[in-house]
Amino acid sequence: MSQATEPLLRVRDLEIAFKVRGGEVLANRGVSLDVAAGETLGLVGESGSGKSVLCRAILRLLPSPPARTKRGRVLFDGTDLVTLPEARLREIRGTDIAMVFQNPMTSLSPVWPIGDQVTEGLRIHRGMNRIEARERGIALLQSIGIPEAARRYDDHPWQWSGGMLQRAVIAMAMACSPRLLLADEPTTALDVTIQEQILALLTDLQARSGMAMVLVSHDIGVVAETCDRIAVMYAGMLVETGPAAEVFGRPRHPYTLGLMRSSPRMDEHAERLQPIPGQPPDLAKLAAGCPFVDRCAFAREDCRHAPVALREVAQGHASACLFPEAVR
Amino acid sequence: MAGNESSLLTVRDVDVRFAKARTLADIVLRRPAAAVHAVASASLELRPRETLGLVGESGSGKTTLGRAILQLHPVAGGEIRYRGRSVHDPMPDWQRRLRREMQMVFQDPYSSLNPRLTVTQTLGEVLRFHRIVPDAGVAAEVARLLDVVGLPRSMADRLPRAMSGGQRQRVGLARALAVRPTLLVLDEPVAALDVSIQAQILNLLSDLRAEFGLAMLFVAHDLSVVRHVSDRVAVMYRGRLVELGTREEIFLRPAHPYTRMLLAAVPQIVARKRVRPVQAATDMNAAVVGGCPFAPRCPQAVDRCREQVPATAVLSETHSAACHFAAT
Amino acid sequence: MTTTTLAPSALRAEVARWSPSLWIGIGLLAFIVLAGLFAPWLTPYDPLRQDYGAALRAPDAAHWFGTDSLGRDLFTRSLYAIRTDLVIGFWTTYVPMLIGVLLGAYAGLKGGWFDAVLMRVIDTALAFPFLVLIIVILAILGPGTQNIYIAVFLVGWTMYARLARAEMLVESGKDYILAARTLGFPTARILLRHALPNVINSSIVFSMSDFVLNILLVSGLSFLGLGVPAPTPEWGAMVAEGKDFMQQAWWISTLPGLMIVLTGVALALLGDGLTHRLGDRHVTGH
Repeated sequence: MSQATEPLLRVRDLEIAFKVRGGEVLANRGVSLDVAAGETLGLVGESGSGKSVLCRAILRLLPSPPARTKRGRVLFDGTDLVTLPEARLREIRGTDIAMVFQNPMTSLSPVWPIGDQVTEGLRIHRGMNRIEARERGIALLQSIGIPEAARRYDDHPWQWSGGMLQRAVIAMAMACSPRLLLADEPTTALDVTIQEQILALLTDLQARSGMAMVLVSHDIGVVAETCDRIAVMYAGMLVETGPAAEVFGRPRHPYTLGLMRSSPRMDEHAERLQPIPGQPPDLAKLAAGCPFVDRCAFAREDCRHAPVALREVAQGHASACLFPEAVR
Repeated sequence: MAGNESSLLTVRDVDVRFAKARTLADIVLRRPAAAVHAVASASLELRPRETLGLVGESGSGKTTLGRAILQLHPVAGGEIRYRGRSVHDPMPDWQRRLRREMQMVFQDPYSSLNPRLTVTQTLGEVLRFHRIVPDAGVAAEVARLLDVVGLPRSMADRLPRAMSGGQRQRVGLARALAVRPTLLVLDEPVAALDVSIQAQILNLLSDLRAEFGLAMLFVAHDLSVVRHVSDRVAVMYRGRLVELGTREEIFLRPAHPYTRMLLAAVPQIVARKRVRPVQAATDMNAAVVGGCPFAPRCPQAVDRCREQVPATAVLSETHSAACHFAAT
Repeated sequence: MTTTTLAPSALRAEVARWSPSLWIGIGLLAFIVLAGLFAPWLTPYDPLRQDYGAALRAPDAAHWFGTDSLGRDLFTRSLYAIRTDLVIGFWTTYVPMLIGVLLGAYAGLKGGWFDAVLMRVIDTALAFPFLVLIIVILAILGPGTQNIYIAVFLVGWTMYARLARAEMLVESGKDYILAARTLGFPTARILLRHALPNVINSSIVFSMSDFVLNILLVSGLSFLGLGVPAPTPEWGAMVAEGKDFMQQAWWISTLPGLMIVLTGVALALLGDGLTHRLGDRHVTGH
């Protein structure tokens, strides 16, 4: 999908630190990635991998303190969001870049009608009055598959089920036609059949609007089925990026392979799974070298010392493993 | 030993209702509480050493049914028999025996352990209370239990907050195993864990099952996990058991449209982007009045489905489904 | 049962987590308690001894707080009053807390008719102003320390019951309580060993401000003549005695009043520090 033109979002060498008792912990350690217009990037990793932190850091939504951007740039259409004045950033939030969070129940205020919340951005950023906003809001609710949208515009959140509310949250994000949508675990709180509906809706909206999308998920099945490109995170670093078909067809980082082998499959039955041994490392105690070394079946002595960096292993496919050919 | 050995646990036509809170006036006037049907006439059977997966989405009643078996919810109708004898038989000896033979493992590794007790205290209390070993042998038995669930003995004096989710879940397992049970009810035991840790726990469960000859009722929403662990599978929808069969029957020849919908929705690690049709939102809050509870969402529903609750159709000795069209 | 013993290093780690307000509160309260305990050694006077020749003396080197209309040394009486007031404060706070927490936690755990009846009783009791209710009970029973206890015991537990019940409702839904039930532990054991340690924090914090309020309550009752009978030294009674002399001898009311304020500040700081310390435990729980 990506063309020779400049990517819409470029993250360069981003380093995010959190202040903790007695020091600092790096939640993102030199993350670089690109997202092109019209592309869906799947950001996958386990809890503590830094994927949600990255997603929030792009829009500077992390509470500071304790969070602090130590280094790096976040270029959105050429503008560095890291150094942008707060007032300018507020204009970008909700208009050019929108975000969808995990829990639809807490993403909407319980006391206001859903329709008014969905169209709030139109009234603030586009200067619409209530009547214009209502008309547009009903159309939005229809476009995201809410039956009888005109009647349900004035419903309150408790009247809707979780899946419907997540649709409303998506409608709210889409109200000002963003060019980039950040979706942080948008289906994790939902049942699997509803998850499928929401993913279909997101894919459809993206195809119709041509926006770029970052889909954060812990579920590799979700990103595998939904995304063009994949970025795998571990211990605050990107360990593998590439086209979805390549990353899951021929993983070049042992962590990606481990994730795939840990997951029970629907298409074949194995008596035993092959879990990744051990626990994720304590981010406060990371030494030099590969953060995955203690859990890795392919680790060699060099892995403990050599600096870790993404290196291209095939066209558009990069791995942070020192020995990507050994991974199989 | 009463009852027949081919069935360890028999659940027959069990109803569980959740009462809305009664006011004092209701109690004085002996007004019955308004009730919500959480489980409606569920019947199933568990044989020794067998794992039965119980799947369904939120609100399906799967957790409630699991808890009702352990008498954590009162039963409004039907009967639950263990080794042929009602679990509600109040004889103290029988109740004490049930507490030793049937145990539960919970979903949330953060709330399932008392935050103020160390691992040794949690396990020691169970061993002493049920006099599993003489008091002098408690320390040795705690150490043995830690070995069994794969926790280093150095964890014995830790408080839950100093342990990871996977480690806590192992403590929860050790607590259930401390009384040397025959039957384990596992309520979403891996849902809160990262996939690499989840695989470790699933493997541990299959080892324990082989080693101690445990029968398991495995309650989960994740179909790939259920497929991995179960010999037989029961599917629930809105309080009703809609399909029951062996693993092969449920996953390869599903007869109920809901089961088929569930299976189709599971995201898989495929190396290609999937095209999903966009659907209108389903309002899971909407009440179902009469007829098949799945009819409002069923792609094959006809008038009959909305009027008449389907009887359970027997498809084979092991396979049954509650659908008017299951046999066709 | 195994008990948690604090090793010296664990104790040191615990102390390291104390906030300044916790430190100052503990220090101030310890100072007050010690002053009350060692009163006979800190002053040469007898708290009850009257000396008409020395009546209504302003504070000076011999009488730090001055003397009252009967010539009694007010510093001495204020020190001895620490004993009276802290003892009364202790019983009027912690007996109701014990009753309230047990009843409330049990109601929250079991629900049903017990819970429904208990909550209605509490609502009814809380519908009346606390002080009015106490005065009514004392009017029936007659004044005196013992009757103050009875009156406060009858009413004071309601707030604790409500607090403990609310916390218990949250806690009883947690899986470790369900696990204890599946293990067949009796209700009393689940309540006392598993649930109570996890629901009692807010009651402990509340008891700090309740303690101050109870001292003020007893002082107020003494002021009204319903409390501690003369001549027992008690701050509230002393403040009351001074009210007729406010023009010529301000110290009689003011300085014992300041003792009440000082105790109140100590307990408030302690409560504030405990809030953070006990709250901290929850935050670092994950």
